[in-house]
Parts: sequence; C-alpha cells; structure tokens
Amino acid sequence: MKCHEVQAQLYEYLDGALDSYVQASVREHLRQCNACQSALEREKTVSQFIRHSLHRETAGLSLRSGTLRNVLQQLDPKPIAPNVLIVAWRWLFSSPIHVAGMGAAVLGALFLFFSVQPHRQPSENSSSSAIAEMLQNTRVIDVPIQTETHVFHRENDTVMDAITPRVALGHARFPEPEHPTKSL
Amino acid sequence: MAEAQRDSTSPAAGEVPELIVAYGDRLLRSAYLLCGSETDAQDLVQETFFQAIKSAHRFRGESVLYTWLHGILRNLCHRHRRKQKRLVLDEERVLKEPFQPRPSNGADHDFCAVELAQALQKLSPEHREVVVLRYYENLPIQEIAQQTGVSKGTVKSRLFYAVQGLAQLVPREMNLFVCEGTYKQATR
Repeated sequence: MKCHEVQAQLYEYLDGALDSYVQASVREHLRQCNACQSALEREKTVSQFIRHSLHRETAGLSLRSGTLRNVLQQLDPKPIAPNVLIVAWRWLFSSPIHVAGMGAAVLGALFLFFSVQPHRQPSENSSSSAIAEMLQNTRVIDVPIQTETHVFHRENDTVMDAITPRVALGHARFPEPEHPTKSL
Repeated sequence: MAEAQRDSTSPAAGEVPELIVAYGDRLLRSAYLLCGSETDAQDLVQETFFQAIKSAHRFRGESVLYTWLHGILRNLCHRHRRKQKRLVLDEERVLKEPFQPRPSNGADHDFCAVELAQALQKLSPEHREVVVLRYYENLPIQEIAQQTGVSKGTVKSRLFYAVQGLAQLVPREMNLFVCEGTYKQATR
C-alpha cells in the first residue's frame, strides 16, 4: 500500500470503518512509514484540540427553564374562539328563510326610521326659534374693568340680569342696533 | 437496554420532559456552535423538540434518537440562517452583532477555547457544520456524508479546508494546527 492511499483513508482508519483486510494493511503501513505515522498523529492532535476547546467553550451552557413549558404550550394550544361575525354570516346564509327574515327585519327598521324622522323636525324648529326670539332682546355687554362678561336682558327701559331676571340693574338705553356691544 | 429501546422508538408528547433532560443541553451546545448565538440556540432547541413531537411518526428508528433530533436541529439552523440573510446583509450583521464569547470566570478562562470558538464562527456554514459534526459530535465520515447529503470525498475536503481556515484564524502562538492536512497530502 502506498502513502497517498493510506493518507486518503486516514479518517476511515480512525473511524474503524475500513474492511478488516484494508484496516490491517493500513496499520502495517503506518508501522513502517514515519511520514504517514506523523500525519496520523497530527490528525489525532488536531481532533483532540478542537474537541477539547469546543467542549470547554460550551460546558457552561444549559437549557433555559421555560423550555418544557413552552414546548407543551405549543403542542397543546388553547382552542381559538370562533369569530362571532363569521358564525352569524354562516348562519344567515345557511337557509333561504334566514335571508328572507333578515331582509324583512332590515326593511322594517328602515320604515321605522323614516317614519319617526318628520316628528322630530318641528320640535327642533320650535326650540331654535325660541332661542332666536330670545336673542333678539338680549345683548352681550363686555365689562373690561371687571374682566367679566354679563348677559343682560331688556324689559321696556329696565335692564335686567339675564341669568337672574329678578335683579334689576337700573334704567338705561340700549345702543343702536348697528353697535350691539358696548361697555357700560 | 431501556435507553437503547427508547433510542429506537418514536417520541411521544408525554416524553417531552425526558427528552429535554436527556438531550436538551447536548443539543443546545451543538446549536450554539452552529449558529453562534446562545439566544438563537435556545429558541432553535425549543423548536427542535416541538418539531420532533409533531413529526414523531416520521422517525423510523433507523438512527438513534439523538441523531434524528440533531438532524431536525441542523435543518432549523439552515432555515434560521436563510431568514437572517434575508433580513440583513452578512456584512451588516457581522458589524452589528459580532460573535461574543460566553463570559467565564478567571479560573476557567480558556484562551484557546474562546479563540477557537470565535474562529469557528468565521468559517462558512458548510465548513462549520462538518467541524461540529466531526470533532464535537464525533461522527464518522460516512455518517456526516449521509447527514449532510454530500459524498465522503466532499466531507473530507470540507474538513481539510475548515481545519486550514481555523489554523489561519487562531493565533500562531497556539501552534496546535498543522500546515498540511491529511486529505491534502493524500490527494497529491
């Protein structure tokens, strides 16, 4: 057996994976050949060095404590509650009666809505007109000295407090309509 | 005997605690060497156990249970690496997350171990994988070839270039590597 043949099979020789005849031949060659013997020793040294270093570097590693719990949770996930909207949608289209019933309910709701709308309109109008009427006789007068805003109400020639109408503040004439706001 | 029987039967969900106790740390250390990050290694091992129980019916008992689990782990490592490549360029990743050696106290500090672990992470994934399988997992060439799906010659070639790479990356004063690998000499 030649050197290159032996060295090509050094890994298998170390693994003991060669046929017994070839294994014996390699062993015999290694006894007689210093170069191949040193190649074998180098491989053993490198192997030992790498193995030792990697084992040493990873010796302190250990699996985190929550791994078992996480794996079991992954294996047995909680059932997801079905979406209510999806269930309702499926139920609706499961039978034509459901579709017809839903259509009737929608039409009924629309009818009720539009029938109630006209009754609401006058009440809104009456309240807004009352406010408009009240504002005609009401002036907002800014009092800069007191830095307060008072709301006054006119009753004939008497100025009344609009918030507490019983309090008469005196007699005064209101300014012209084109200058509605003026300091007293 | 019981160990051997368990090694050849498919794992069940009820056996998760036993599996974790028996193989958890060993898989974690291998995962750490393959991916270079302890956090990623923890996640990958957890996912390995989950995948193993989920696909337990695929385990035919042709190999020992650890080898099968390690195969799942390597596939997950490949997938994880591809995902990382998609997220960031390799150069950016190296700049942002350089390999950090695990902290160790002064008494246990092993300069060679740290240097070699750092050098290992600088190898290509294929070269790193054969080094871990050959020297850490102590697998024969034939089995490495089967697991990685390449020929025995390719495994030997990768081993040679991986050792050459480590020899260049590890400081010269350690001087434990040889300049000429056995496979290279054999092929001349």
